[in-house]
Parts: sequence; structure tokens; C-alpha cells
Amino acid sequence: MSSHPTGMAVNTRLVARPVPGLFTRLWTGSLSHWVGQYSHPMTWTGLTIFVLLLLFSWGGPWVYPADPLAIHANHILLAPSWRFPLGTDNLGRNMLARMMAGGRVTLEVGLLGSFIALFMGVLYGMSAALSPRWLDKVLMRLLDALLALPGLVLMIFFAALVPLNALSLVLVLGFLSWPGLARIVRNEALAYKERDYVLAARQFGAGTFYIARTHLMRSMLPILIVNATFMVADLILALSGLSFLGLGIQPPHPSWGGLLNDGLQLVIIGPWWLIVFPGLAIFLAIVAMNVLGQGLLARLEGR
Amino acid sequence: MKPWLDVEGLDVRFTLGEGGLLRRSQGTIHALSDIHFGLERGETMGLIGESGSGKSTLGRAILRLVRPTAGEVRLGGVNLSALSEREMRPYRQQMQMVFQDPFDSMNARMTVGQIIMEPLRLQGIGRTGERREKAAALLERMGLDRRAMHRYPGQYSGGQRQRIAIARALSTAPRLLVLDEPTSGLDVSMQARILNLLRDLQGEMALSYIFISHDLGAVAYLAQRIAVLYLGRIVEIAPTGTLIGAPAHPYTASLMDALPLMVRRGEAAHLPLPVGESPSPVHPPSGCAFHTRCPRAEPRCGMERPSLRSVSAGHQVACHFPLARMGNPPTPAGLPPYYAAGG
Amino acid sequence: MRAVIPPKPGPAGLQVQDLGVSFGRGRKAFDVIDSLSFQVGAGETLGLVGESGSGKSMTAAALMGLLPWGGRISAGSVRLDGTELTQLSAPALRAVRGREIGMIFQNPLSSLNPSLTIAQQIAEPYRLYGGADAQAARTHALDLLREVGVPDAARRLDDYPHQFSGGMRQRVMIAMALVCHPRLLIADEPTTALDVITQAQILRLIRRLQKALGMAVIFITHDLSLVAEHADSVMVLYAGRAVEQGPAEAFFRAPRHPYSQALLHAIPRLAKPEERLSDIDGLPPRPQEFSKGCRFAPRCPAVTPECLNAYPQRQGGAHHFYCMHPVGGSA
Repeated sequence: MSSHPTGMAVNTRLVARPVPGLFTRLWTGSLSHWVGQYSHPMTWTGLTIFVLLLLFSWGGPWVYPADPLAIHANHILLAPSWRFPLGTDNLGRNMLARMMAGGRVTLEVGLLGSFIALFMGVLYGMSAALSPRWLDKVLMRLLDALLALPGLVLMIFFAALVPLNALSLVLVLGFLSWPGLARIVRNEALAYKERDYVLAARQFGAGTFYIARTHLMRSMLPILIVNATFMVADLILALSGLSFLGLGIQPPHPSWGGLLNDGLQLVIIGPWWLIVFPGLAIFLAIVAMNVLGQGLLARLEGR
Repeated sequence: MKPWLDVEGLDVRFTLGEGGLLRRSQGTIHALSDIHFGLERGETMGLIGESGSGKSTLGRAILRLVRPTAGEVRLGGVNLSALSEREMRPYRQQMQMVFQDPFDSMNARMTVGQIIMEPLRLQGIGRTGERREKAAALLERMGLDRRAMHRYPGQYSGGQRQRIAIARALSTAPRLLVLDEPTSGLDVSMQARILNLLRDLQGEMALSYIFISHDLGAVAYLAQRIAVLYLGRIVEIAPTGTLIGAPAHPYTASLMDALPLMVRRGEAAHLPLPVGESPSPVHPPSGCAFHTRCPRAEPRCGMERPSLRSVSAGHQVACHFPLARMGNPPTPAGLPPYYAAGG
Repeated sequence: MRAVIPPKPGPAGLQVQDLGVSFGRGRKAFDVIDSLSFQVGAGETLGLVGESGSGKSMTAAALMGLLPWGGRISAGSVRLDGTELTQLSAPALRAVRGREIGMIFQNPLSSLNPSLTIAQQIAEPYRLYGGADAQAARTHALDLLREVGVPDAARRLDDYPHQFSGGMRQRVMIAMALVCHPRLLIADEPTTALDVITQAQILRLIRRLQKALGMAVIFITHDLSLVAEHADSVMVLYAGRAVEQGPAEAFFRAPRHPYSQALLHAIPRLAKPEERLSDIDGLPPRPQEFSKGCRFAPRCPAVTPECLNAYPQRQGGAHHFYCMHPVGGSA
């Protein structure tokens, strides 16, 4: 038996202790276990960068309120200065304000898109794993077919059908990304389904839904979190790539990918601030999520 | 008068291989054939056999974690085999199981408290506070600190985990525990701890046990009666003392002979050790399934399957040429006396 | 076969004197094995007995020079047929390990490479250390498989480990351990995962091969009943130290240490199923928690205050023990 943290045997009956508060109970119970389990320098690094990016995009306007869409013909292509910390673009728009607004859209698509993908993937993969064997086979063949579809072609197809804004891009990117996750979920669920603790739960009278929710989900949660983390990075990259094809967030609304693309159009005239800042933001977001995912993975595999 | 738990003609077959959309399955395993036995309240039945004998499957089929192909399991007169999963639920409270591998039988991401309370939660017994109190009390009865409630099973050794598993099984106040090799992965000293605990609990709570093991020593410590399984069939069933004192089936005798002298009370071996390993249950031998390894096999054994028949009170054996009652042979010459010293 | 270690004067077999194993450095250093001394003559078996966490597998790792990262032999000497192993260079030790020491583990599946056939796994060390060509190595592998009782050996030579049952895998492991006719065989819980009949078969096989090849065998187990049957001498380990050791016959006639007694009485016996087994509460201490007194004291039924002050003196001759309140006798 692992000894008490203080190394002393305390007779609980004799020592009157105050009833711990909710936070203390949470912390000493599962939270400290979780944090301890996943704490890794890379996790903290990635998480810090990502939180800073979130703060920049959503908290920034509180500190530096400026209209990202307002056009000012009298200060076109100004280099960074005190008044315009990130300069202005060829229409005289405030780059700092545009970077903040672009960050909101970009991170939103990344986070919500992977959330949708996660939701769909869990739903589909879990259903397949818990279905009778023949249905599982049918569902998996269907998934193979979906995985074989070229994403870009589908994207162009969608672009022709729906207006491209943050909402539609979240939905489309989310829907295009779930099949890979569904396969992971299904394989993990099948492996955990054979464990004795699932059999034990059935013996206690547990139904399929309970087993899926309590045991299978709990067991595969870490691997899902890791995959979702990588997917956020993938979706941010995908959204930025789409901007280059004109399939991303439509002008005049900014996104980091769109800003980078606009800046590259003007590269001949040489306004470096239009390229460096959006490029850096995309780079940081992707590195942050990958480092975070690697940190979590290192802990998962280290056990 | 029918026994409290009545297993009648139980048959379990597994389909082998994937058996996909287009492929046919590759055959069936006859995991259990024609199993009959009864168990009274407060009694322990030992099930013994090698891996592949079907002893674990039998435990699971009684709890209906495995669907029997034929036969009935009756508990207090109620035919469990005929119940739907919903109708079965209240009976699940009365029958619990302790699994062989304590590292596999509990979810490492749940706290010990959650693990022990899980059956109560699923059966809707008590309020949260009551469940917590009950779980803590059970932990203390198992000799563990109640602070364990908030810890994770990963912090405990195999023996401690197995005690947590027993606490979980006892949480719904069951009448029957199926113990599937609960000590096979443990050190001798930890095994002794678990066996003593199980013995004490049986006295306190009037529990019935089905104790599954390949270790005759551990089974004899707990069981009043022992059934010996070989390739899915009971080959011998008898009260513990009778079985140990006068095994009638050559396979039972071999299981005893294979034990260290110290355990088998220094008696000389009945028979030469069987050669080879238990055959695959996919292709069981004809006639008596043991004839391929039996030192006493004769041509008849390969052709005709012996049926289970009575040799004395409560003692049945399925063998054409059962061993005669030998009594206790003297310690053979040349054997150091300390083997026989009980201690 | 060519002898790797040139014969030297002195007794044949393994001599271990005051062996100590430590982990960590500086103030954080702690001992996991302390003052172990024993010998196993050629053709003899030593039963190394203890609970999990007693240091028995660590002792084996130290003898093999395969301590986990951070561990080192901090004291004592290990001599195999007169050669001091603790002084050897890494390549020399590797050669000794490959040729002179064989080892079999509890779980043969994880010790066999799943992607190589049995023939490849047995023949490889023979070619490496025995200097044989491919055909000779294969013939040798076939002979060994027959020797350890794998039926239909010629056909099974090209099978993969997962195609064998647990008992057969353990036989294959034994064949692998014997490839170069080692002088010392270390069997670490070789039958714990096996059925009783298979266990008896495997232990008898090891015994027979040992007599034929004149090997010294260290049999590591937690089960004294197996030691009584298969060992010539016994060493009971608790928390990294020997608490009692001696010839099997003397030890089993009158075990003196309360811990040996407890282990012996924890074994269920068919003769007296109604007699209560002795169980010891608690767990062995972790190496960081080792005290200067008797390490069994916190769990001992006969503990007195002086047990906690200093490690007990050795008592007895060939059969000796370390306890201030031994069971039985007048010591």
C-alpha cells in the first residue's frame, strides 16, 4: 500500500478534520491525478502558447479596440509604429485589429471543427464497435469509401454549393475530418470491450450505453484528446491552405491564412509586416498544438 | 429436493474465427458438454482443470456472461436461462464474480471508491452517501484503509487489488460468488491472505462459492466438494476428502501427482506423469478425451466415451477403469521425512 | 565445445560473496541488495525464495550484469568457475553471459521475438558464440528441441512463438538457454504461469538436463514447496537481505526465521485442509524505506524493541539465519 503523503500513519477516527471544500476534494481526487498524469514540459509549453494566442484574439480588442474592416485611404501600407503596432495594409486597414479578428475566426474553425469531427467520430466509431459483427463490417467498409474520397475535390464541390463563412467552414471541415477519428475510436473500443472490467460491468447489470459511456469513453479519452489536439493543428493548416485557393474565409473578413495570402500578393512591393505576422501566428498555433499533443502522447506512452 | 443452485445439462459452444460477411466460420469449439451439478447455500464447489478445460467458461455461463447453447441454470427454483436481460437484473445482485487478473478487471481510470460503488450504482441500491459509507466499510473489512476510496487502482499491488475486487463483488450483498482463479497471479503469502479472507467472509455472510483454479491445494482449502473438468466435461466429482483420499479418475490422480510432495502430504505418486499437453478443444479426442495422455488407457477408451457414474456416496467418475481405493500408502523408502511433516 | 573461461584453480560453480546492489548517487543512493553470500556448485540447485519485491529478480540481474538503468554492483564479488565477473569489461561480460549463463523467465512469450522463427532464435546465439555455420546451427537447434521434449520438432522448427502453447514456449526458452551449454542456469519463476501438470513436467525437465550437463542452477520462486522438491540448498530473501539459508534438508527440517516459517505455512496442504494458513499482514518495505534493524520487524509476530536497533547477528553454521527470536530450538 502506498504510504500517506506525509509518511505518517494518521488515525482518522481520532483526528478531527475540517470538511474539505469542493475545490479541495476535486483537486485531491481526480484533478491532481489528471494533472500529475499528463504533466510534461511539452504539454505546458504548447498549452501556454495556445492560451496566449487565445488571449490575443479574444482579449486583444478589449485592450486595443479598433475596427478590422475600416478602410483609411490616408494611411496605406504603413510600417509598424506606435499608432499601428503591426502596420496597415494596402487599403489602410489596421493589421493588429485584423490579426485579432483573423485569429478569432481561425482558432474558432480549428477548435469547433475538431470538436465536430470528434463528436461524429465517437458516435460513428462507437456505434460500429457496439453493433453486431455484420453491421460493424458494413459501417467500416462505408468508412473506407469515405476515406478514399479526395478532401480537396469535395471542398471545391461544397464551395460551389454553400456560402463560405466561419460557420459553413467549421461544418464542412469538421465533416470532412471525422472518418479517421471514427476508425481510431472503433478500434480502441473493440480492444477495451474485451477487458475484464467491461465483463464485470455487464455482470453488475450494465447496459450497452452505460458501458460505452463509462468504461469505453473513459478508457479512450486520453488518446482522443491527443488526436483532437493534432486535429486542431491540421484544421488551422487546412483553413489557411484553402485561403490560397480562394476557398477560405471570404474577403473583406480576415483570417490568418487570408492575411498571409494577401501579404504574399504584395511581396514585390515589400511590406514585410503583412507576411511575417500572419505567418508567425499560423506557425505558433500549429507548433503549439503539436507540442501539446506530443507532450500528452509522451505521458500516455510512458506508462 | 433440488439444490439451491442447480446446473442441468449445461452446454456451451463457441463459433470459431471471424465468420465475416462472405466467409464461413471455421468450426465450433465445444467448450462445455452436459454439465450437471448442484450447490447449496453456504457451500463451496471447487472447479479444477487445466487451461482449456472449460472451467472459466462454466463460471461465466452460470452468471450468464456466456450464453449456454443448451441446458438450464436454476437459482432457488428460477430458471435463469429463460430470463431476458431485464428480468435477469435483480438476480445479478445475488451472484457476483471475482476475476483472475486484478489488473484487467478494474478500470484504471476510476477511483477505488467508484469501482466498488459501481455495482450499487448500476443496481440502483442506496443513495450516494450510503453507497460511499458501504464501500468504505467493505474496504476496511478487506484490511485496506478507507482513504483508498479516492486513490486509483494503479497505486496498489496485485494482492491489494484482488481485495478491492472482492469488496466490489460483495457490495451488493450477493449470495453466490464465482471466484475465477482469484489467486493464480499472486505470491504464496498473498494467496494465503486471500484464501483466509474468503474463508472468513463465507462464515460471516453465508456465501456460496464456486472456486475455479488449477491448483488443487488452494481448492481443497476452501471447497467442500470438487469437480474435475477435462476438455469441457466433468470427469470426476466428489466431496473434497474423498477426492483427495481416493481419486478414482486417472486424470485427478495425475493432477495430485503433479503437486510438490509437501503439498500432497508426501504420498507416492499414483501413476506416471501424463505426457504432453491437453489437446485442443477444437478437435477433442474420440471416446474418453483423456485417453491420449492416460497411463492406463486401453483400446476401449478411444472408442467409447465413459459416462459419469457413482462409485460411492456423492462420488461420481467418468472412467472405464477407475483407480481402486488405495487408502493411504506408506511413505516410500528413501523419501526424506520432512516432506511428510505437516507444519 | 570450446571453453570460454579458462579453467582456474578453485571450486567449480558460482560463488557470490557479500554482494550489494545500489541505485542512485550521492545522498539519494540506496541499496536494494545487501550482503548476499552464497554458492552453487556444478550440478547443484539453489532455491532463491521471496515475495515480489524481495530482490530475488534483482539478484539474478546483478549476476547477469543486466541491472536496470541506474543500478550498479556496489560491493562484493561474483565468481563463476573461478572467474571474477564484476571485474570483467563489458564485451567480456557479454561473452560470458552469452556462453556461460543461461536464463529462463516467467513469461516466455515476452522473452521470445515474435517475428523470428524458433529455429532462428535458437540458432542465432549458437552461430554467434559457438562459431557454427548455418546448417550445423539448425541441426543443433533441432537436437535441442527434441531434447526439451517438443513433439514433432523437425516440423515445428520453422514455427513462430505464438504458434506454441505456454508450456511448449517454456520448453523452447529452455532450449534457447541451453544452446551454448551454460555453466549456470538462472530460472526466474519458470513455471508460475503454467498448469500443475505442465509445471511438474518442466521442473523435471530442468532437473534432468541439469544432471546431464552438470550445470549450476539458481531457481527463483515464491513457493517453498517447489524448492523442497527441486533444490539442494535454500536462501530466503527479504527486503534485499538473506534472512535464512542453508542446505535444503536442514532448512526444511527446522526453519528458524519467523519469515521462513510464515512462507512455509502459507502453502495449502492436502493433508490438512482445515488448518488455517498463516498470512502476514502488510507488504515488504521499499528499498528507500529500509531500516537499520531487522527489516521484517514491522510484520513479525515475535517483534521486540531490540529488533529495530541493529541488524540481527548471524546464527548457525551451514544452515544459518539472522533473527534475535528464532522459532524453535534454544538459540
